Amino acid sequence: MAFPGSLTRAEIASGLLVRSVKINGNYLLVENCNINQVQDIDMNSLYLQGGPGSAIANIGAKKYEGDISFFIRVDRDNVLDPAVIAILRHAESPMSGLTLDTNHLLSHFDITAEDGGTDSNELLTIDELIIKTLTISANENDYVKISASFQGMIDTRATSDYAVPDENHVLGRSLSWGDCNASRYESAMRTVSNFELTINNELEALSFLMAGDLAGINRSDQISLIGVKSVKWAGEYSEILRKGMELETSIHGGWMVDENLAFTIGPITVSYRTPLFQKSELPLSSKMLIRKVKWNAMINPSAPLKQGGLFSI
Amino acid sequence: MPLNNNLFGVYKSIKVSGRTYVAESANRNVSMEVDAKNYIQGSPKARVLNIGGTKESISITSPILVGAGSAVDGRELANTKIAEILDPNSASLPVLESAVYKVSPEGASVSITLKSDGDPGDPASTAPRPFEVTGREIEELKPGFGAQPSRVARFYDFRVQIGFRKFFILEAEITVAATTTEAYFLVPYNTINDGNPAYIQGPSGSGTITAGYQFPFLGISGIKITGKGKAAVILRDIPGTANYGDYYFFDYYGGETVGTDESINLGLSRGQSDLTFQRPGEAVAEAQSFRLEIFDGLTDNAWESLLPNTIDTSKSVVSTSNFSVSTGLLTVDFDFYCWVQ
Repeated sequence: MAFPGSLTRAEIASGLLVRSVKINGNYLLVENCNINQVQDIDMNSLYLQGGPGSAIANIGAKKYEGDISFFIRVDRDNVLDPAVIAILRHAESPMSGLTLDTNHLLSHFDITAEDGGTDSNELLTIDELIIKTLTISANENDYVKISASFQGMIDTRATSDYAVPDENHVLGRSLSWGDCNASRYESAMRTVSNFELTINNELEALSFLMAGDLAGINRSDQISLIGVKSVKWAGEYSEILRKGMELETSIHGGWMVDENLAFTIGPITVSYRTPLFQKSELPLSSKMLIRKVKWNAMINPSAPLKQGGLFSI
Repeated sequence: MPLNNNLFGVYKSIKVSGRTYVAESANRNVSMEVDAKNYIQGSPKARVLNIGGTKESISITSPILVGAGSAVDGRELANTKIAEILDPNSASLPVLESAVYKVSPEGASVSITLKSDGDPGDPASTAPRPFEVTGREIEELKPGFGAQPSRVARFYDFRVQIGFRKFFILEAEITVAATTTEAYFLVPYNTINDGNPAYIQGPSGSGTITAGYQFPFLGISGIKITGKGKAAVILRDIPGTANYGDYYFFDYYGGETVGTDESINLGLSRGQSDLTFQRPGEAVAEAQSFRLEIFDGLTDNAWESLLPNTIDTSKSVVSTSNFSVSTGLLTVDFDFYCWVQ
């Protein structure tokens, strides 16, 4: 396959002329994709060596890091982009990696220390991406947006295919505030003016010494693996205080068992059966009185091991 | 004198036995035994001193490098000194007391302890000294010196195997320790006093040994190789069998009597052990070889032992195994001994 982008003497474009990305093989229109291969490459300078010059390189492990942001889109049949479903399912249960194909990013698979500079750059599928954080934000001024940060690596050297739009999902629209709903057992939550739902997956990227029987040709300077150490689901919403609102809305903190705090975003329902609320905040201002409520979800220890604990689609 | 770079060690380089090595730090410690003796002397004042022999020890921490710098790194120094104690004909001061090779994903280094006799030597001599500090730039560290510039060795440059423990090893350390003995001799009667100092002529008539001074004779009477490591542990859930059901740690991959334990780098199942247990009348080594190797990308693109090739440490015994269960990584720390061949 020919190299994409500027290696073939430029296909410089902007906006929608630039092709987007594929998640698990499904096309996803993104507002921004800033996922790059990163590596600690520096000089070690402090040795007894006969001068202050930095003469000894230190080339560490490489991995992928970055973030994407996109609006949640449905097609004309109100069906979500398959890529969005894949991201949400993975975010709530990060037990296997996502793949990312993109036209704009060349990768280097070989050991940087032995194959430096510009050699052997390839258009490869990033086949082990893990979501570190995911935020769904909804308010009246914008479309419902997902921002997700990733860590990952290339597990297998697989040549990527060009990311081209899926013809079946070209037409569609972005979900907006009008597609959203919020409720909990004690309140219809008619005064919520915006909300933000977050997933925090604590990741550890580890490097190990090469296995004792590994052939030299199979060495790799990538991180050896990524582990998900902890999973935390949280969120916050703002309520405009007005006359006529319900009484049981000022939350003074603590858990509410079976409260079923739920947010509906088009075909997506996000539910927190037992939220652990923080004390709500209510600043006094000359404008509207807006109360902010934050919570973490109390969930089964094994809930992130399977899908469906947070999102219903 | 507002600018004086001589204050900084980075402008220096060290020499051991006349050869230059790159180091992170180096210490040379010399001491002499001095004690006050009080006799029945009519005064509590220290009128008599008891002055004994000298001791000199040198400790150096040096990185393990890849590229041209590998000719002047800690591994080269340690392996040179190990080779010397194995061949007395090539031995020179200082002699190796211990060399500790530490390898982890962040890098690798060698901590070396050497021993010398503290003799300041003849001021007119140009012979190499056991330990010297110079202002010489280390040529091998110039980026264009050899086929490759220098870099610190990282996790992808090493492979490790301690018996069946070969996956997910986080750190490994191997120690080569020499048993050295210091001895002080009285001035022999039959010295040849045609020079300063007096000396004893060797049996062949060529070698000379100074004696009767404060400086000790150093003898090497043993070498042992030990090590330790730390590995992450995977506990897989392998389905059980019809006879035994599904028990964690007790299931086998591929059958009830053969195959792989559910745990990697750790023996937790029935009949398994982390330690290399012995049997009556038999010396039991780990079923698989011990390896601590570095990739040689300069010459033959193959793995080679971190230690000198003349030392065969393939047979080892694991003597301790400490399994740690926390909210972080599952890890096992282990210690091992090697038979040295």
